[in-house]
Amino acid sequence: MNIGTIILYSTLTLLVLAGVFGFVLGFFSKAFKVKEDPRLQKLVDILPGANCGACGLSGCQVFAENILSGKAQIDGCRAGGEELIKQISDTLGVKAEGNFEKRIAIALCHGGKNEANISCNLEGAPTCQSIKNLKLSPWVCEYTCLGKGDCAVICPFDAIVMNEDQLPEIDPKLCVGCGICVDQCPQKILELFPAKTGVLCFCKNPDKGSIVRKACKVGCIVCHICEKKCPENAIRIVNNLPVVDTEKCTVCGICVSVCPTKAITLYKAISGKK
Amino acid sequence: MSELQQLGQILLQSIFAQNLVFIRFLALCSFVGLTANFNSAVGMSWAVTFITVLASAVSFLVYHYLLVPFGLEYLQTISFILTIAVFVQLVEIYLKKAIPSLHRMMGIYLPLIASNCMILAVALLNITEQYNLLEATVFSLGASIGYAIALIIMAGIRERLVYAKIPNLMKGYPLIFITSAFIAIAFMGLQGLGR
Repeated sequence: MNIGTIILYSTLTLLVLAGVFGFVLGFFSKAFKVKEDPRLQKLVDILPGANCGACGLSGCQVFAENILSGKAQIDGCRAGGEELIKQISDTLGVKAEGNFEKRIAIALCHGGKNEANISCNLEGAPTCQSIKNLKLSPWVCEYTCLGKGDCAVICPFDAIVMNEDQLPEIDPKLCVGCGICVDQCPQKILELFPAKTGVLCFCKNPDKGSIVRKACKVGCIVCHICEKKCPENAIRIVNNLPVVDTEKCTVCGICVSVCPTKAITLYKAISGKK
Repeated sequence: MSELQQLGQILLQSIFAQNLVFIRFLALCSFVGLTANFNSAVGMSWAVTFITVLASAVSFLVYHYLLVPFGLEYLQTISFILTIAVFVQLVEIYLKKAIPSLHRMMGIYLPLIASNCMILAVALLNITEQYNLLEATVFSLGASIGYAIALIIMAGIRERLVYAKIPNLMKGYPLIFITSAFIAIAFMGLQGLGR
C-alpha cells in the first residue's frame, strides 16, 4: 500500500465516522429537543447564585423554575432584596408585589476577649461547635459568643469577619439576611433584624445581675434603669433581658446613655466602630 | 482459571492495583478540581462511571468493527476522541429530555467529561490489554469505581481540611498534592490484590 492510498483510506474513514456521528447527533438533538422557557436562563442569571437556600428551596435554579410555574413568589429571595424583585418583575413583565424589608444578621454579644472573663484556655479549639460539644466553656458566661468564627466560615456572601476582639463583625452592606449563620451559631447569638434597627440589647445572658457582673463587663445586669427611663415605654424586661419594641422606639438614645454596662447600644454606632 | 475468576481479577486490579488516579496518575485535573465539595465529587463520580462504561464499549466496537477490518489501527486515538465526545453529547441530549432530574444532578459535569483523559485512557487500555467486550466492560466499570473511590476519599479529607489549622505556606494546592501523595502511597500497598 503506498502512501497515497493510506492517506486516502484514513481520511475517508474519519470522514465517514465523523459524518455518521454528526448525522446521529443532529437527529438526536431534533428528536429529543426540550422546550425550555427562554426566561428561565435570564432569571437564573439575575439571581444571586449563592444557592444559600433562604427561599426554602434547594437552590437558585429551582427557585427560578418555581417562579415561572407560579409556585414561588417573586419576593421569595431574601438575598437579592428590593433590587432583585424589580429585576424579576421587569423580566417577567409582572408588577412587583409585597413589601420587602431588608433584614440583616446582628450578633447579640459584645463580650469579646477584652470584656468577658475567661474561665479556662481553649485557644486550640478549631470551631465554636467543637467547644459547644465539649460542654465546657472557655468563658465564665455560658451565653457568650465563642469567638471561633463558625459564622464567618459558613457565610456565603463573605459578610462576616472575626475582629481582633474575637467577635463577629457583620458588614450590613454585604449581609443579605439569608439566616444561614443564625442556624450555624451554636450559642444562638446571631439573630435577624430589620436593617433599620436602632437600639438593641447586646447581651443574651438571662442570669441575675450579680452573676452577669462576675462574667462580663458589658453584660446586662438587669438594673431596670432603661425600662424606667424610656420616655416611650418601649423597653420591657422579659426573662431578665430588656426587649426593645421597635414600633414604639424613637431611637432617642436615652437608654443608651443611662445603661451602666453599655449592654444597650445603638446598632448604627457599632457598625461604624472598627 | 475460570472465566468468572478472571473477570473478578480484572475488576479488583482496575479498582485498586491499577487505580487510574493514584497508580497511573490519570484524570488528575478533575481529581483536584472537583474534590473541594463532597457533593460535586459524588456527582462527578456518577457521571464518569456512567459515561466510561458506555463510551468504552462503543469505542471497543468502533475499533474492532471499523478500524481493524480496514487495517487502520493507527487511527484509534483520534477516532476514540471523536467517539467519546459525540457520545457524551448524545447522553447529555438524551438525559435532558428523558431524565431531567438526573441531568440536573450531573449535567454540569458532562461537558467536563468530554475532555477527561481517564475515559480515553480506559478505551485505549481496553485495546492494548486485548480484552474482549465483556472484559472491557468490567475493566471500565472497575476503573471508574476506582476513580470514584479516589474522588470520594479526597473530598472527604478536603472537607475536614477546611477546619484545620494549616500553615500559610501549605494552604491550598501544596497540601492537596501532599495529601494525594500519601493516599497514593497507601494504594501502593494494594499492589498484590487480584494477582
